[in-house]
Amino acid sequence: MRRPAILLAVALVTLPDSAAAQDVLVRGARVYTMTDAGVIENGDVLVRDGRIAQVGASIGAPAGVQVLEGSGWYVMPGLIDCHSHMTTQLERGGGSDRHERGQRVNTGLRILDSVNPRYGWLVPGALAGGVTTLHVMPGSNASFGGRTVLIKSVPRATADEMVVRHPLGMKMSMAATRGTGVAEMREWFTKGAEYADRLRRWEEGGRRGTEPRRDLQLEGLADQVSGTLQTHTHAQTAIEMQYALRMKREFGLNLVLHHAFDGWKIADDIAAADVPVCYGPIVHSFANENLRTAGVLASKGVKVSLNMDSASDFQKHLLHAVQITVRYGMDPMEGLRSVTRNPAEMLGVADRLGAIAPGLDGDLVILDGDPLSTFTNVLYTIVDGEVVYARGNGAVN
Amino acid sequence: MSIAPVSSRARDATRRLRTAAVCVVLPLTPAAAGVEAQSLYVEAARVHVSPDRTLGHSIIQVRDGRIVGIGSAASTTIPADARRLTAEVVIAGLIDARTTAGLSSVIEAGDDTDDRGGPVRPELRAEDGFDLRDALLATALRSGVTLVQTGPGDANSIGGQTAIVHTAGETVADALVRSPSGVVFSLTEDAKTTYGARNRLPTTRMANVALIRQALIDAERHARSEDATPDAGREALGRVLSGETKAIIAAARADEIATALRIAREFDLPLVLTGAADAYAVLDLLDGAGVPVLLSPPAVTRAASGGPPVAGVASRLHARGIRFALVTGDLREGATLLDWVRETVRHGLSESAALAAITTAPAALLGMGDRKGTVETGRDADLVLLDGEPFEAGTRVRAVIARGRVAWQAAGLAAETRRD
Repeated sequence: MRRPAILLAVALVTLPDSAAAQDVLVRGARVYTMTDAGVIENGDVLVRDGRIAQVGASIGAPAGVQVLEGSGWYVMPGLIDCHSHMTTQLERGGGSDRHERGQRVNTGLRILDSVNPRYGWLVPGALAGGVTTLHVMPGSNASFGGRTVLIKSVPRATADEMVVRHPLGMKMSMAATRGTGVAEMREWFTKGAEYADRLRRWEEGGRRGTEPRRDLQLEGLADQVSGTLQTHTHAQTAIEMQYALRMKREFGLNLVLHHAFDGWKIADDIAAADVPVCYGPIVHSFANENLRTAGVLASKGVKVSLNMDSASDFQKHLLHAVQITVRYGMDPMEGLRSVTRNPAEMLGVADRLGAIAPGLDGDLVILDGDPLSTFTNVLYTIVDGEVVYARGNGAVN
Repeated sequence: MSIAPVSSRARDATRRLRTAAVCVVLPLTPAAAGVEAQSLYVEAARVHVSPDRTLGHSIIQVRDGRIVGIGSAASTTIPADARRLTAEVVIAGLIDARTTAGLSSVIEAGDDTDDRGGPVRPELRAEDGFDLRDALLATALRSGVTLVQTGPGDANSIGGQTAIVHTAGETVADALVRSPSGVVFSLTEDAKTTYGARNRLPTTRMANVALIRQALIDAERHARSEDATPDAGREALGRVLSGETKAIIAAARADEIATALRIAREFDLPLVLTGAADAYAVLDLLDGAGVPVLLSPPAVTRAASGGPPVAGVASRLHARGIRFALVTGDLREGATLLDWVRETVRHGLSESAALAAITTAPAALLGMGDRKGTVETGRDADLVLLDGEPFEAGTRVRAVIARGRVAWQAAGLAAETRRD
């Protein structure tokens, strides 16, 4: 039974003032908690002050809370894209702000400084597809691209207000480091380790003698080597992934592989190294092996998340990537985890995102049907308890 | 992992001495200009002594570069042999708190505004490129501007040091008020454009910011060091970090403004924003941070799409109570400050707020509120003589008096000055 038009009108008319906009109750829906609680039939989710307050059945509506009657609806945690370029491409001249072309090592750079918080695609791209959190990274043209950031995909006055975690990791590209590039990469990691050592010795020696120069570039490398910063690397082919696994072994990197189209060839190696994979974008590579790769990796015990690698409206098809992946062998529930719980865990934010449980951020996507059906639409996207997207409200088809 | 920063305000005495030695602060006495001891009288039908106060038919007496008296025309007697100028309206000399005038010499000797040898140039000083015969400076003077804060343009991540200079004077030393007064930074697409075309750093906003951040970190360390090698650039940034001079940061889009505030927070910088086309979108942020804004015309500050015209931003800043001045910024030709102000009035800025934005507000921002910006006894005699109300489109500047001397007057006016 579908009645979004009526409910939409109610939702839009009753959108309360900003304080109360943090409170919402979804009632009588099929709730995919992505926790041990599993799927709750005829379930309710109450969000108060921007956080999930209660999950269960027959939750009474506190006064002033916006109520969405969810019979026939499906509720999931807000989707997370582990590899996005939203907000960093210029909408008007001037070129991209995500590929620094002036040097090969950009470990001192922070993509946050390139984030445009009023980026035009955030609503029709991310929020229209139920994507509430984006791991925004520099591009893959340089071996070391810069520091990444995790943001909520709601336009705000400033980038700082969107940040979930900064800096989260370092973007690398194994495609830019073929051959001698690997030696160069090793040299830089060694420099980073030496830098950390130099600073530590100076601190331990009571800060006597000449103060070492704080160098943002070396600091980034040192933080990679210490594991403080995750290393997120572009690695499509098997040889690129093997470079990355070798660097992890040699320098103790806290590694996440991105793209990984050839992952099926070395799935056992990846699983043995206990390295998570941010797979995709699946529609960039329709070879049979690539359609099955995410499922193959997951079946070997690799933690897999899916990405759209997008800077525009393509972003909204993240759930379609799940559908394709499941069509080609991924376990259905694991497929849903690959855009919720899994990216939250591999990005180190499972204490805030990726599931519907009390205390977590009030980020929800409400669907009018089974998330694994291609006919399903996103009806509402809720971030921090605020309805930030409603289908038919001008933004989407 | 990082080295705990020492508070940038906690400057040690040694360094204070060192910076004091290179910071030129000249006395404002006009004696060096060879000012005539003889009085000059300006008679006007109306005198806007300040943005909030207007006198009727009055006579202003000027001597030794200062205003020594203002009285009603009926009660003031002008000596028969005294020099006299007449005007319909008199206002204070205009102040352009961010321009490149004096450095651009576009016609005569090529552009000295932006050095393109590298994106981080805090060592460059405006006074070393300043030319009193510069065409842009002459245009500014003719349109009523008597004082500017000038400096390198926005083409580099860190452009160099600004100076506060009179637009008229015998020599640069005579015209100079304070140098350096600040350091120019740019978060706009200008630096990207300068180097991006050659695939040199920076080609992205994030690299631009990284260059600025590293330069400030190096300057902090230099300031802390007991035995650092002298370094003009790091010392220039050190003066900004200590609060002695301003961080003048160009930012157009809302995200650039937010980035400017983020950097200012990180390093405790005395921030002044220039450009600021998208300021309307971040009024809360600006208000909360108490950051003054030098609003530039749209030709030099590119807004993101969808906002009001830049000229309409002025009235929004005013309504919100945010300190602001109107400036020409990195504008190299075309409109004058007066043209720009009239545009903001057409877009809703009140005339008193408009006058404040080019007189009292910039005077205060430059720390010269006690000498400049109003037509009052004791103030410097910087006066603009107009043939009508300042913001009427057809009103022309008839003469400009700078520190008591007639620095420029319209052709045909000279004959009127001694009619008795």
